[in-house]
Amino acid sequence: MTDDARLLRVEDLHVRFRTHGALRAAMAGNRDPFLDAVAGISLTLDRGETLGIVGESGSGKTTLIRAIIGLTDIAAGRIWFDGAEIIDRRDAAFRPLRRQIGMMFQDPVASLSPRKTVRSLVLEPFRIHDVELGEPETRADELMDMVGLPHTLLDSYPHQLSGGQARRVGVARALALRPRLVIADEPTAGLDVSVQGEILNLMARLRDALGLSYVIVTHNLPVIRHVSARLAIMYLGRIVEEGPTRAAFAAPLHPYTRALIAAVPRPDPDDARSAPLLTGEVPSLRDRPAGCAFHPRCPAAQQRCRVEAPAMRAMSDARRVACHFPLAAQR
Amino acid sequence: MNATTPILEIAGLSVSFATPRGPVRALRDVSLVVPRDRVVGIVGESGCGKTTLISSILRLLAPNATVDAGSIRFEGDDVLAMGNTALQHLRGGRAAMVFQDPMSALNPVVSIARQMIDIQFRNGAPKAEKRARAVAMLRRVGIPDPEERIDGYAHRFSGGMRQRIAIAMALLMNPALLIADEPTTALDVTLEAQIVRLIRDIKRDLAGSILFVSHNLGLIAELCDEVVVMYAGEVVERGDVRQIFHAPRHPYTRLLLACDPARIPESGGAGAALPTIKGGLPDLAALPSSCIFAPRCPDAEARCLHGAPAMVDLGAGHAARCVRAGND
Amino acid sequence: MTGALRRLLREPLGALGLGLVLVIVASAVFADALAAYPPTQLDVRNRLSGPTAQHWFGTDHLGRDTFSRVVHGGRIALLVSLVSVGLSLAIGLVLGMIAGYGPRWLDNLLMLVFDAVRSFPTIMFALAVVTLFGPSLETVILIVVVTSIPVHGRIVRTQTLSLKAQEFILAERAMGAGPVRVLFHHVLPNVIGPVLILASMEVPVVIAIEAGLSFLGLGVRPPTPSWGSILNDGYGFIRDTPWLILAGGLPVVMTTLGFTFLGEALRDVFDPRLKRE
Repeated sequence: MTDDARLLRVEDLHVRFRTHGALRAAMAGNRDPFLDAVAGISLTLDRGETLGIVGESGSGKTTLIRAIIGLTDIAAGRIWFDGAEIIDRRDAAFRPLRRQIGMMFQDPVASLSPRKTVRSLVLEPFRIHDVELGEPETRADELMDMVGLPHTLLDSYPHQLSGGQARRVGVARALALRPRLVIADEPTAGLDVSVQGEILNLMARLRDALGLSYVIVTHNLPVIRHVSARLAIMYLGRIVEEGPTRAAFAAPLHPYTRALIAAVPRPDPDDARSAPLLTGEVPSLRDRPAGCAFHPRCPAAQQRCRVEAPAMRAMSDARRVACHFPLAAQR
Repeated sequence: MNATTPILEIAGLSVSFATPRGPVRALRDVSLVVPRDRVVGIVGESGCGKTTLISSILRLLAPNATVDAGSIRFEGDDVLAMGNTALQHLRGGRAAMVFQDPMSALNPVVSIARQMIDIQFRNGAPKAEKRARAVAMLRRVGIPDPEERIDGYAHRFSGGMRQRIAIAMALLMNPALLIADEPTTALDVTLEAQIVRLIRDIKRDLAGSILFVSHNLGLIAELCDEVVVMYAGEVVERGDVRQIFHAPRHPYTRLLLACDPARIPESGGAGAALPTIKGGLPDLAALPSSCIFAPRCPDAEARCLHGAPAMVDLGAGHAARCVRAGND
Repeated sequence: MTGALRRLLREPLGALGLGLVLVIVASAVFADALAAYPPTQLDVRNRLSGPTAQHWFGTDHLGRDTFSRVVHGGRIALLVSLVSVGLSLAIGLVLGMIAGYGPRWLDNLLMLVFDAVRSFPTIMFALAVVTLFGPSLETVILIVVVTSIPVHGRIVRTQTLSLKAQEFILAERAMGAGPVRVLFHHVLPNVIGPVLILASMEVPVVIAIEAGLSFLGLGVRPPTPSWGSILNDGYGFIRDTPWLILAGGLPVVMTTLGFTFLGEALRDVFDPRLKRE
């Protein structure tokens, strides 16, 4: 795969947060004052592809996408967008990139400025980037048509919108300047099952119409199964498994993947859960386990797992896993 | 009250809220029964009225709410006519609740031990015994080292742990009915699975019934013996869990099941469009005179537009509020 | 904006407050039209008279028409209070937003400055300034502005800090909005509410400060009329006529009530958050 096809490339990304200042750290006996929210992530996204990033709380998935869009600083690692490496991460340098990357936020109403009308919100990207608006009214109408919202909502305020409507406004805004990449953070969170399809179908339609690429971050496995051809599973700041969605569901390589799939309740009273449940909880980032971060909860953990963190290795057909004893290999 | 009296019996309950725009009819003619030793699930999406229903059971409705009609009987006693003493006995004693946010039940400035001892105020046991019961219950719900950890404060526990503590607190008084309102919605999926497993385990020990409210069909299927499906303030279908999931008779139930991504055959991202239910909820302040679901129903006929249908009894405890239910 | 106004008028105190304020403002603006006599015109023969047909509030010890002095004094009062509150509001707003949104070191620096100013006793500061620059309208304004900026600034800073982490601000940044745009288009409309309320309640305080300073002889110089100086004069001649005191005090009371009611009603208007539409 040549670099030309790649829209996004992330290499060994690290994002750390300081928990307390240097002085306190010294007083606390030099305890490491940093949290590694993202601890070495590498991934790629091809043009026109939809990549799903799956993880629970503490996985670092939100931090990862914020790092990609430049909203947080990174401690190490490199990011390329559309072939060009992002070196200067200051706001001014990032601005042209932000035209190319649209972002959809998890809480649709909270991500809309509360005292602005929908019209003002969907036209905001034009104003930020000084893009010629032409007839603002027409543009606003067009954007509403694109996402299937009535023009009457243009004069509404965010708190007057339903969750689904607010999400659509978020889509309209993210796509206003025809970006290349859209990053969606939990696009179906808070939406009833009967309307989840609306937003997902809309995203798929627009992907085809506008040639978009998506990164969809979610913890909702049934949803991701339908919308992305490839996924990456994150745990405590690292990717533990990556590959085609179908293969990951049919034959998970990493015990965590298997546990996640097993944990999803099946809407059929006669279909009990198959695999045993995962015990314990996600450890706090402060107490990152030594070796493989998953070993305290892993049913197949062995001595090596406790001391040595597994590196990502390639398995067959574009699948990668970070595990000393991947499941397929056990068969 | 005898051994066959249902724990909870709601008949024809209608509740409305007074608002500046006029009365909002949040619940209309809702009937449901929670028999002894059963888990009954209420499934519905936003705006279906499940929160209002739960609030009604414990008489925790907002001041602008009125019960327009119907009755609520708890172990045979009329809840709507209960005086303050009886209500106090009901809330937290005979009926206990677990909320979506465990912090609704946990006081952040008081130790867990103190809270768990305080809520046992109804029995006259000495403090040491109350504490022992509390520790035992924490152990039962899977809190490690309960002897030490019970003296901690809520913020020292993770979200999953807090929910376990909330469940422990609810069970401490041995309630006849445990009401769980979306108890796992705020939790990650692996934690959710653990909590659901815990509820299943407890179901065996519990000398009572569980009323489980959720929008998650998978959880309902896993936990519940009987299911009540609600839409926009009405019960549209009820039956045992297999009837609902394998032979749904109300169009809304069918569509809801069809929309659940976990039931849709996998397409691996190529994705045919996902099914949805077109349209939106009706305005409860300006109800149509038709069947409540008719505007969104793909099978609507002319007769659906003339008046709300009654529940059609389909036998074996299965009923659906649809004029076509008896036919198909 | 009109929605806010309508909500304001629905509150009885809000409508009353607004009414009082409008009366005061109108009488100050149209002082020349309302007053029959210039405020400094002497008429010693009719000194210290009570209310009459020609002198609605009577006259003072020099025979000057008290009513005229009151409405002209209103100009001074409003000028001082609106200018100083307005200035300190504007400056405090900008500094507060910068402190809340900008880098930590800048925040620390600004807070240090604010605290230093606030910890200085106001009276001493006032006396020092008056001694240095002599008593005058400008001095009063300067004193009020300098001591009020940290108060407004702190409130705005706190609000800005909590807004900074909110999702819609992140969304704006993610779209490429620079800090200036974020601050003026998205932070400002959301922080200005509480400060406006505070400012509204401060107007009568400033008027009282001005009146107090003038009463002490440290404010505007005679013969310029000011409510404080009217009170000062009336105080000396209270045995001859109580009307001077009443005339000087009444507008202060009215203004205080008016702006306070207005401020309270504004709080209700801004606070229920548009979510309660």
